[in-house]
Amino acid sequence: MPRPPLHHIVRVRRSEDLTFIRPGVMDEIVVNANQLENSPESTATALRETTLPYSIDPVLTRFQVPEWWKNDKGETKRNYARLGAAYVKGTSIEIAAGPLLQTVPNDKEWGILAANVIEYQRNRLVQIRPQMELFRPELRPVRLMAPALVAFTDAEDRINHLLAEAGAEAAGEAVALPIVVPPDRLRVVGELDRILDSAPSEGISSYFLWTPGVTEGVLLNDRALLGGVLHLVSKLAERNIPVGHMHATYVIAALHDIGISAVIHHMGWIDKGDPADENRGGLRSCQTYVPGVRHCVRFDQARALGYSLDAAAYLERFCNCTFCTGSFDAGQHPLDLLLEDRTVQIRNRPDRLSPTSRAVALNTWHYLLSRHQEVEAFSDQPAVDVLASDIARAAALAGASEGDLLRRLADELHTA
Amino acid sequence: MTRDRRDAILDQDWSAAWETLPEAPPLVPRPKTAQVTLRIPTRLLARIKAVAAAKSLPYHALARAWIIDALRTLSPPVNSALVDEPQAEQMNIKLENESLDDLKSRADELRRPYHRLAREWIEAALTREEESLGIEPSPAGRPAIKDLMVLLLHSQSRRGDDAIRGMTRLQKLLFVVEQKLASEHSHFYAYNFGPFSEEVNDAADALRLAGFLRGSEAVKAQPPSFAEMMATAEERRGPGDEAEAREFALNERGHEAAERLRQSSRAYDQLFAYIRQLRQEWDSPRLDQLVDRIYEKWPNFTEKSQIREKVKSRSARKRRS
Repeated sequence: MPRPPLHHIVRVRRSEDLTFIRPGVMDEIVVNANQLENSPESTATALRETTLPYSIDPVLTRFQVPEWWKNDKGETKRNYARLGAAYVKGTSIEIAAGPLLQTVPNDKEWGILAANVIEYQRNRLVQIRPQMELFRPELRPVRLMAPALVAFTDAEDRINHLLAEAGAEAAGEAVALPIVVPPDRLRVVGELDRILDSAPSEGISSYFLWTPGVTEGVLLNDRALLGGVLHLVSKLAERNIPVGHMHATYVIAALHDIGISAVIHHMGWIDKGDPADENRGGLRSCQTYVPGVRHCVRFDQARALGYSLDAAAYLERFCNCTFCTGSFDAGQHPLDLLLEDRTVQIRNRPDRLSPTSRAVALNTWHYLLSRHQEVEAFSDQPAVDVLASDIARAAALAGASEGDLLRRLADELHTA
Repeated sequence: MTRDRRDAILDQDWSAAWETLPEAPPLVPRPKTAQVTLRIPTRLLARIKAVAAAKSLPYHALARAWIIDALRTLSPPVNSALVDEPQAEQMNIKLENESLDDLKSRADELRRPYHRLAREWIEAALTREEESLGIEPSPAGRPAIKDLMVLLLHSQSRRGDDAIRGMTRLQKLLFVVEQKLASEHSHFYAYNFGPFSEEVNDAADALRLAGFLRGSEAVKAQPPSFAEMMATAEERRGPGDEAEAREFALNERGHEAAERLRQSSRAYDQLFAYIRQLRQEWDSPRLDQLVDRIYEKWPNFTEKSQIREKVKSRSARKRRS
């Protein structure tokens, strides 16, 4: 049976991301609901102009732990307050009064909450008037996502089951189901089976996995964690329902052969393992994504790897995305643009280097284009072939040791 | 006229007819020395201004005309629909002494304070005028920040400049517009540097992504070329790296969209006229002048401001000098 293509979905987490959503760089968009509450007008405009299909991640997990929805002053962020109000309409739930598991009084109210979350996804963008243009098509999500909690314990498993069923019923159609597994449970096959048992297949159009806090480096260096992910993907794929990943990396895209059919990732190229809480931001560090080694490196290392190469060697080993190719065509070395930095003065602390705004924007394009190439490669070829080619490329660029992690992944996939 | 006829007229007793003759107008009008000061809700004042702009009349003169008309037609008192709203604004209306006397005696007849009677007559006349002019009390219920921003950028400052430099100035001017329109539920709230609304940033982003702002192109439905990627990067250069303020100005496409919006209804046309007037009045050359005025006029929006004391002492210094 021919494999379905690997679908490339990019997550919009902040307003700045909207500039970068374009066909050819991704297949689809998923917008975080908290971001949508923050910037509904600009999000609607960008989606209308690009015509890309989209869905909304309801991010119900953010209401699970108080620290995940509060700002640095300990106050509920205004966008979360608005989002929470939409989710608890018609219930007695005080959504930001404490951990969600403690503030929802009964199963009936969990059911109402699930229906509200579905209604929010379906109608939130329809309410936004077009930008002084008439006769624009209405914005409708391509899929509806059931609300879900991080599955810390059996208690969340039970609620997740209830939310999935109530979500599908409210939608009147099959819904996507997030399965969010913390590292503690990911190591234990028995725990994974309990989670799988609690995940319904009736009324489910696709599963979306997420393992918060697990970076790619951790995943490749911890066989138990990688084994856990492989177990989840292969078991869910057996149900003949598409399986995606909510915060995918190169390693997750490599699992296309064993059942991953969609990868979602955000526009940040520094791998922080996508923890469940809100990204606090801060000063950007000087790192760039190097497709030749499939991870990001510091600016000085990137200079050492790429500057000495002529254009042909650079495009073969370091990166051949449209941006890097175009830069050479324009007579400029891409690293001159990607590695542009500035000194930032911080009170009572030593000065720091940070990328310029221009470098941040160009690195975003470079990262998205590189990821799209990776997704296309795993979509078109068997993972072992892609990995073999990438191991050789990494070794040619940075030495044999750079290929070690990829080799370990290839071994695991071979065993799987 | 014959002698007999003249004698007959002179012999006639005119005393009864004398009483029925109209009073001759004074050769020189009495000066308008009297003034009535009315406290009115902010929303009512905004509506009066909108109708005055529609009729190209000063709003004080229009309000005076409504009072005089009500006196002439012996209008009955009307219960106010805005009775619960705080009377936060003040309007001074010059009247002739006789008109003020008439207002007082009419109020006395109706057993009402004359200020209240005048306010009620104004409100009643305003509602009638709004109906006849097709002006909604508030266009589309509550104008979106995006629409207010487009109309603001479609207008010009007193210096003839349509561009607004800096997000702070854009935030503050839209705050003034919204307050003057007296929306019941403000988009703005007290924040670190005075009144703020994230909807302003969102609307500015929406205009940029739609390609309505100078220096921006609409987000496209095709893969990006190298030149387009560079353009998005250059567009961002500045705010993060230098102290240079962002400039917000409509391009040709944006002005066309604004014009379409303005012409979409009479209410929006009037709204634009009012916003243009406000921009002339408030878009001062120096940002601190604008900030100081706002802090003085709307102190409840400065409660959380980190620069409140600084602005206060700056304003005090200005007053002293």
